[in-house]
Order: sequence, then structure tokens, then C-alpha cells
Amino acid sequence: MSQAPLDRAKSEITFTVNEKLETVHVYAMERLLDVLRHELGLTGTKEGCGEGECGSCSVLIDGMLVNSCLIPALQANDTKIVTIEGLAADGRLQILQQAFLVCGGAQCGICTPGMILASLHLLEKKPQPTLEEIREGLSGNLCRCTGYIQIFEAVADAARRGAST
Amino acid sequence: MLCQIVAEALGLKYEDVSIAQPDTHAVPNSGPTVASRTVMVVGKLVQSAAVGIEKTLTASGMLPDSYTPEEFRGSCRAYVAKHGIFRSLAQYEQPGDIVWDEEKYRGSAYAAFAWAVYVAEVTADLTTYSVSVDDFVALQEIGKVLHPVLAKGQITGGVAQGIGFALYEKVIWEQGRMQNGQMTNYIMPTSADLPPIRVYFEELGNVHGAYGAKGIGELPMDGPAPAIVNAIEDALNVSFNSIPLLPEDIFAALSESATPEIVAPTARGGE
Amino acid sequence: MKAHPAEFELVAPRTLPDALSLLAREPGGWLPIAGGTDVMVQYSAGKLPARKLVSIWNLPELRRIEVTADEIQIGAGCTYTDLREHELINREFPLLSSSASWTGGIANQNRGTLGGNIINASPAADSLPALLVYEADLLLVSARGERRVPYVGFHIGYRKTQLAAGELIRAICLKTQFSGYYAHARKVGARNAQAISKVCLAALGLLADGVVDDIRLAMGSIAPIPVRLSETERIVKGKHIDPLLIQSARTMAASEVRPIDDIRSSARYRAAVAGNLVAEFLEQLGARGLRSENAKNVLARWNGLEQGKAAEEILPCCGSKAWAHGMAARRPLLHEAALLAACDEVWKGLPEADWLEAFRSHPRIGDSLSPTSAPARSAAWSGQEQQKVGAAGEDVKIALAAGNRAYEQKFNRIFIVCAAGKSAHEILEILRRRLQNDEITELNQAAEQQRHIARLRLKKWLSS
Repeated sequence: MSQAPLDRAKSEITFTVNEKLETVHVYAMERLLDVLRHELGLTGTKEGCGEGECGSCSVLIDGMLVNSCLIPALQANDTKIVTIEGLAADGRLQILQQAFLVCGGAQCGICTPGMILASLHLLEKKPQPTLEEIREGLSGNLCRCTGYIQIFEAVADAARRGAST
Repeated sequence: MLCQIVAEALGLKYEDVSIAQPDTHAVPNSGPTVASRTVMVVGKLVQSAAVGIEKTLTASGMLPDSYTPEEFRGSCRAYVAKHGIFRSLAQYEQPGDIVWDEEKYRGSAYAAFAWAVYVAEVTADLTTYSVSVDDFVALQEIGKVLHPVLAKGQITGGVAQGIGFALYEKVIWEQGRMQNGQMTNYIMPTSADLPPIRVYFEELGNVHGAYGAKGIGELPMDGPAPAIVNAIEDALNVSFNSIPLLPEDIFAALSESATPEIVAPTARGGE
Repeated sequence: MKAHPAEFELVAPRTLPDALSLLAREPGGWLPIAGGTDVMVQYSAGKLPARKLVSIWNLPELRRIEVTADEIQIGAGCTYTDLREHELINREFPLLSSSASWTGGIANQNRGTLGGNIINASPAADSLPALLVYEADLLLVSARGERRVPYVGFHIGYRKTQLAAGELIRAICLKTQFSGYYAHARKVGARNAQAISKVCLAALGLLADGVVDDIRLAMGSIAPIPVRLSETERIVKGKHIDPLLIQSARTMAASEVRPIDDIRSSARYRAAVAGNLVAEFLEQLGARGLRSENAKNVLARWNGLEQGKAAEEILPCCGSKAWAHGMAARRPLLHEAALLAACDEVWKGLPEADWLEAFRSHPRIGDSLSPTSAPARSAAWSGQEQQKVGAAGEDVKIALAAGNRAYEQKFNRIFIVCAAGKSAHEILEILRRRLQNDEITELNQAAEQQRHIARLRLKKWLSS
């Protein structure tokens, strides 16, 4: 690290997270992942690789699945963000989350928040996905524990129960 | 599973049993963190400790031989009110019928063994020399299946790691340093890479494990890679003895055995 | 993360002119960042030399897709997802949409841009070979104005382009002149998703009178920049595709490429696979040519039949007499595309009674022996289409039978689905879902399936 970092002013950045308006004062190049975890205490979003490969940091921005480790805070200004904490905010698990529990879609849990958001994103675009479409939709989310099969089952189960409606 | 075991031993509901976060301030030393022994060894101890609670309560006349969960709770409350904190401990003892000579290294090293059969069906693509696993079956004898979904998940995950071991996860070393230690260049299977993994169980019991259970987690790491390499040998009639087998390795082996379809390039690259 | 955000500056101008004047004020002082899928990786690894960045993400002027009479202009800020979802790009430039589908996972496709892929100029970039075979032009814009350059020659070296100081790519232009070509692309990576390519091919081929009229082969990851295999193209052009030509092309391609050994793969492997990919493409092009010849012969003969006989021959493809007569009345139909277009039009124009007649020509799913009055050919095709169902386990077959009964009770006709390639499980899922439909929705969905079946059978008929 350099000895005397140039003192760039922080920026005021406003966005909605899980339907709540938030304003933070952070450096423009702060990663959105770090802003969510450290400024807002939303630690459900995880860092697995820091290079957009593992999907543990996935969130939804304006309905789009993205890797938050690759988003500078300034580019999140004026957006609507959904993190894993935004699901089941009232304490009741959504159909998709319930399906993950029942089907064994989570073991250690580190990929799970990203995996659930990616699954939700998939079901919103394809409410009745084929197995191939599920595989493709989740191909950006790496899981070491489950071998994916029970995750596919959870997504298919949730689709059958109308998870996207 | 540990909560399941307690609930089963005491006739309680699964939801009525909670498990504490292990804090070494509060819990005793239970040895190293190793695999394949939690349900079997720890589970058996948990079962014994639970039964110990029941025995203490019945011995002190606070619990009838047959009871409801409500009666059990009442009995515990009464015991604590009378005698204070109520702890039941179980300590591992080497089973009497397992004899092991530490000095001569002879005898039965383990109380039970897990058994499995793994079958892989692969396709070798001769355009790219890459192998894909099209179907995989795992049959594992685990004594007793305590939690079908979790047991299946363990084996599926282990098989996935075995497939990675066989076909993808090469570690590249240079002067003792790993060169590909990032998720972009250490190649783990994605959801698009794994076959259907079909898991079946045999249950032949195990007197030394909780409700007959044995360990399951390690074995799925061991079998899949050999199964896959055997299948590749069956497909290509070429012998391999190292893993992971990357397309480059398969190409090199096929070029050496001079199969007519393989063309050696006449130019070598340079930048 | 190895970089400290405090050391960096990032600004986000609201319009393209604002961004361009910033770039003009301080040439080389600001690094543009769009989706960030390359820049942010370098940044996090502590490997980004730039300290001042200007965000061009989501600038409306860069994210438009404009279609003119003879070309499409794709804004450089369009993401891979934008490309995948655009109907014209899928239809006219399938090599571009397939390359977009191979770049990263969905999350990265939602942010990565075509312009970024070009500027980053990696030899392994997925979209670049497609741009080469489609002979794309680039619209480059700066505060000084705009210029149009061919993409070929823009990429001048490893991660180096001819982009001038203060310039941005505004759009990528592709001429819509390739719809008659056979398009084929293949990426070879370490795994099926999220892989940097070891070798990749984008290819276009056009056959005329049994020989190769035009051929374009572009490859990535086998040289410092993506390249057209001009020598290989030269020996193939004008020739008839046969095993000897394919072998020569394979050898030429393997020697024409200039791959290296690196952390991902070896030069020998890459060269061999390059040759194999070209051979694979030529085999497919040749087979397509044969199918096309065959189809022409079948159609030529059919076009010459008397109306009644023509209708009779084509009836097994659909089961509706009105459809068969409608098709026969549309003759002459000269090639597959025209035949299929006619199929769709005639089918969609039929009244309900004719649709029901077509449905009645099928046996129940899972029960290919159930009696119908369908011609033998139709029954044979049903058997083929339901092949996978036949292989299902007993419990699935029982569930299917029960589902079929429930369907027939509700809708008063048998359940129609295009079974080809579908497993019994998949069909059961579809059946369960469609059982929830109301009358009108279900009739339309069944009709759609029948249309698919007819198209499939027409293709089989053309290759007979």
C-alpha cells in the first residue's frame, strides 16, 4: 500500500436498499459489496473471490442480477437494490427460500444468498425453467458443498409452487 | 442429525432440541476436527448422554417408564429446581470387541468401514479432447440413513468434488508457489458442468454408531475420480495414471499413441 | 482487495458530450469505465495503473440499438444481455448473440458491454471473432467528431487498439447481409461456463451449386489478436466439400494459427483443436449442403404432383386435411424456409374444427399403440417422437396415464405436446401445468405444440 493516500473527498451516494432509502458517504470507487456490508451492516452478501467469478456477492440492482464486488459505489447512485435481507423481511421465508431448506439446497451457506438471488432472477425471467435453463441461470454462482443437484431441485420445486408470482 | 438423535432417544419433538454454539469456555475438549466420525462417534455419545438424562430422571422417581414430552419437560424442571444444573456427560470408550495394538500396529484400526460403488458414464469429445461426465451413480452403505436429504447432499457434494479432482482442478506450481489460486484460474465445476448425480443407500447397520449410522463424508471424495478415469480408459483404450486429466493431457496421450485422426500441428507458437 | 478507494477518483457525467469534453480536456488522464467487469477486477487486484476514472455506464447515447435498411448499429454500451435479448441480432447475427451467452455468467452478462470487450482487446475475447467474420465497422467518437473504421485492423496488438486519445467507441455496425449463410461458433474453455477461451471459432459459410461460394473463419486465443484464417479460407473457397478437402483444411488451420503455451493450455493442443474445429465446421456445412440438395429434390417432385396427391403425401405431417390441402395449394414451394413459413401460415389460419382433427391423429402420450385412424407414416413418426417416454420407469408411466385421463376429462380431447427429445418427467411436468389452464389458453397452447410437431415432421419428410 502507498504511504500517503491522496485525500480524495468522499461522495454522497443515495440508493434504495430493500425498499429503504439510504444515503452513505463513501469514496466513489468503494465497492458496492463493501458499502453494503460495512456501511449498512448487510452482511448477507458475501465476498468469495473479489473478481466477479463466484457469485457470492450477487445482488439485484434495478431488477438485474449483478456481482456487487465489481460495482463502484458511484454507479449504484439512484438505484434500487435488493439483497438477501430483503427477502423474508417480515420474517416469513419466501417460497424459494423454503424450497432451499426442504430440498437441501444449502450446506455451509456461503453461496446461498447469491444463489437465492440468482434463482429469483431466473424465475422472474423464466417462471417455468427447464433443467438446462436452471443450470445456465446459476452458472455464475459457484458452490463447493452441494454439487448443485439439490439446488436445481429447490429451484424446480419453487417454480412448481409459483415462486415468481 | 445430533438434534434428531436426542429427540429420537428421548421421545421428544425435533423442534424441542436445540444445539449450543460450541464455545471452548463452556464445552469440553472433544479432540481434533476430523471428518467421517460426527454422526457415528459423536452421535453415539450424544445418544448415550441423552439416555443418561432419562435414566437419572427415572432413577430419582421423577419420570415414569413411559412418558409424554410434556411430562418429560415437567420432570426436568422439577429436577433442576431440586438439584440445580443438570448435565449428562458421555465419554468415548474404545468398543470392547475392537482390538488394536498401538505398538505392533495390528488389529482393527477402525470400528466400522464405509462401503460404496461409484459408476461414471463419460463422453470423450475427439474434437476438443475434453471429457464430460454424462451420468453418475453413487451407491453407499452408511449403516443407517438418519437424514435422507442431508445424507444425499453430502454424497452429491463429495462426488462433485471428485469430478473436479478428476477433470478440472489442476494446481499449477512454480518454485513452490501456486500460480492459479484465484477462482478465475483454479477451475472448479460450475452448475453447467456436472451430470445428474444419482445417490442410493444401503443400510446394514453398525452397532458402534448412533442408531446404526456410519460416517459418509469422506468416501465420495475417493471413488469418483478413479471411476471417471476408468471410464475414460474404456472410451479411448489408452491408460492414464494421474489426475486431473485435462484435455491437454488426453491430447498428449492420444498423439503419442499415434491415432490416425490426431494431426500434429506443423507450427509451434511464439508471441 | 488490494487497492484503496481513497486513491481513486470516479466521476459520472450525465451525457456522452459531457464525457467526451472531459476526455478532451485531459487527454489520457481519465480511464473510461462502463460495466466494470474488466476494470474492477484489475482495480481490486491492485493492478490498475489509472487513478482517475470516468463512468460511461448506461449513457443513453451508447446503449441504443438502431436498425436501418441495410445495417444494425449496436451501441458500444450495450451489455451482453442486451445483445442476447435483441430479436434482430439473434436472427441475423447469431454468432454475436452466442458469443454473448458464453461470456461469464448472467451477472457479468448484465454488466459487461460489447464496447468494453473490444477496447479491452484480449485475444481471448468472446465477441471479437464474430465481429471479424461479420466484417463489423466501428463508429468512434470524440469531442472532435466521429469517424467510421473497419474493425479489422483496429485491434493492432495484444491489448492494443487504434483508439485515439479522447475517443470512445460509440457503436458497432453490422450489415444485414448474412442471413443465407450457415453460421457456426464454438468456444473451447476449461469448463462449460465462466471460462476464458483456450481456442474459439466463429465461422460463416455459403454454398452455391455444390461448392463453397464464401467462407469466413475467425479464431481467438491462438495469436496476440483474433484473426481470420485467410490461408485456410483460400484453399476451401470454390471447392466441393469432401473428406480430402476437410483434411487439408484441418492441416492448414493447425499450421496457420500461432498459439502459445500459457497457464490455461499448450500451443500444441491449441493448434490441433483449431484444426479440428475447422474440420468440424466444414463437415457440418457439407452435411447441410446435402440436406439442402435433398430437400430441393423432394420439393421439386412434390411441386409437380397433382393437387390431391400432393395433399395426401403431406397429410401425415399434421393430420388435418384442410392443412394438407392448404399446403398443396401454396405450391410451388422451392425450399425448406418457404415450406415452413407456409406451414405456419396455413395452420394459424385454420378454424378450430381442423385443429381438433389434427389432434385426433395422435396417439396418447406414453401409449403409442392406442388406435387412431392415422396413416402408417404418422404412427411411425409418433413412435420416434415418443421414444424417451417409452424408456420411462413404471411409476412415471402410471402418473402419465392418470394425467392423460384427467386432461381428457377436463378438455374432452387428448393432451398434445411436441414430445421429441423430451423425457417422460418433462412431459409430466408440462401436463401438470397445462391442466391448470382455462379452455381458450389450453386450446392455443395445444395448437402451438401441433404446429411444432408439423414443422418437425416436414423437416423429416424433406430428408427422406
